[in-house]
Amino acid sequence: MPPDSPQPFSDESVREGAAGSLDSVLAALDYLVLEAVEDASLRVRGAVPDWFESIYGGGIDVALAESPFLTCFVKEVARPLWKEAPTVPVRSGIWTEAVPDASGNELTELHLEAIAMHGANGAGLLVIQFMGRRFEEIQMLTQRANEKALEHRQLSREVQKKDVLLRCIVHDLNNPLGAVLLNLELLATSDDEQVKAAASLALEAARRQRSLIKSITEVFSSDLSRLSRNRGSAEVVGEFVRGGEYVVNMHLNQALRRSVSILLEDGLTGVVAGERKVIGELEPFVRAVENLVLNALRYAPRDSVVIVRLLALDEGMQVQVEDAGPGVEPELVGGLFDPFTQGTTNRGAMGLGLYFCRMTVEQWGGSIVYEQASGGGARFVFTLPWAGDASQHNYET
Amino acid sequence: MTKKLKKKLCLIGSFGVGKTILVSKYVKGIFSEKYLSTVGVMISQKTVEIGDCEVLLMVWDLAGEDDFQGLRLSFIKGASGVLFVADGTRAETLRLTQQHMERLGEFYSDIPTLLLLNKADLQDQWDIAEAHLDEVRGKVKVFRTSAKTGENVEEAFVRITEMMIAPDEPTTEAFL
Repeated sequence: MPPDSPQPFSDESVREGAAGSLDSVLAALDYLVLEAVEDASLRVRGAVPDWFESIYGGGIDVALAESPFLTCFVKEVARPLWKEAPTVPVRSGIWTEAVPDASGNELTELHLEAIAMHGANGAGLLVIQFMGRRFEEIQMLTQRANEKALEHRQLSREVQKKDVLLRCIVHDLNNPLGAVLLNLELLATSDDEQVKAAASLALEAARRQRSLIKSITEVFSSDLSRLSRNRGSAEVVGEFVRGGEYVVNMHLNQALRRSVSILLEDGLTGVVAGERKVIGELEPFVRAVENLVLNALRYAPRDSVVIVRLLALDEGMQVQVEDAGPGVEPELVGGLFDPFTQGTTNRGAMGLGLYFCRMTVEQWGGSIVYEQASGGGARFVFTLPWAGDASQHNYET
Repeated sequence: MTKKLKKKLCLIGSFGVGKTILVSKYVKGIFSEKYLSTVGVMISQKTVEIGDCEVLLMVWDLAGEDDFQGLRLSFIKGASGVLFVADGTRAETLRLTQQHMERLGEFYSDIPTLLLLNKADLQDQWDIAEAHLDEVRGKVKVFRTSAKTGENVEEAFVRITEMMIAPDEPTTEAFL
């Protein structure tokens, strides 16, 4: 070997060098490594990190004497672990203790975590980490999570209170209305044509009021909470088709009175496997489609057609309700699905129908939009996701 | 002759029930409205004189957990007493505390315990039905506390310390 060649390291010197480097890295990362020795004491392995030196200058014996947590962890967790065959390390979890500062007067909080484990040679090791800024990060995240949970609970309570109040109001409104309706129905059978006509008008108004109360209850009561709880429920496609047919049939006469036709375009039957399921429930689905159909009938001109269209898309089942009316006024489109939004003409019940549709569809993970129909009328489109794996289409061939 | 003892006391309960502030009130006499979440465990100490005993009380304030699995049993090892803390304005924290009490009893059935129903100053927001409280009282002594007004705070800590050093309890250094 030439005299100026680098001297090869012995295996031992390589190991020592590596161990020395590792010790300095651990110390730089604020880890203190202690090893259990035969007389049951602990001795420091490698470099001592600055934080430990400044707080427990006297060494590990001082730390054990001053830290109740460390004392407990060593006695209750680490020593029993070291007596066992080498196994997975055990973390203490973070602890906080107040310790005197360098002057020995003011107490400052120290955040640490310890790990009890076995070394490569089977010796018991205790690694103590100074948490520093990491503690602040964990504390901040914990704090935010807890605060959000408390806020959520507070909001839930407010909603509950509102729900109880709403139920009370609805109850108090409905009770006298029942009596009013009963008596008006009696008066409407009167032989006196004038009384009969007046009673019929009043009866219609009272029924309309009952319908309004029902709408308010549907939109603002715990019904929506029920939907929220059942967001995973699903129905087969065929049920939704029958729901669409039901709505169309229910309103045929009403449409005829206005010289309007209602047409159901079923793009699902024969296209999608009958057992294919869609996220949603039949009853609220029917109410949502009915709201859209009633809306369309209100604006549809004489001799026009209201179309209820059911389609199968990759992302889910789509429902379109289209009329040939004037469409939605541009300034209303932005807040169309917000509560109490109404057009300036042909005003509906309370401006809650579309809001109900949106809440219903969104609770199931779907979406609803308004778009202008090709002839200038209104088209409301909502899509409900397929249940199960969206990548499996199961289209019939 | 004064007998010197060192005892470990753990506080257990949901987050936000006021464990840390109860400890702060008792140990330092300080109350703060600001909520600061505890991470892991925070240890404080206070010397209490009970009869002829001078007890160095090591108070382990455990981070609030909303399920028992999250509670580190290793933190409770060596404890001579446990204060369960629930928030009187949140009934669910009392129900959770009852679960904690039952599960803890499976592992540490001999440890003296008390239940603190905290935030007693917020009577207008009180959420605990008397029937629920009666059910709890059959299993553990209950103190209504308020870290804000100091109501029953000192009393509860002194009472649990007395229970921890009661004649029928071991008077050895239970902590170590």
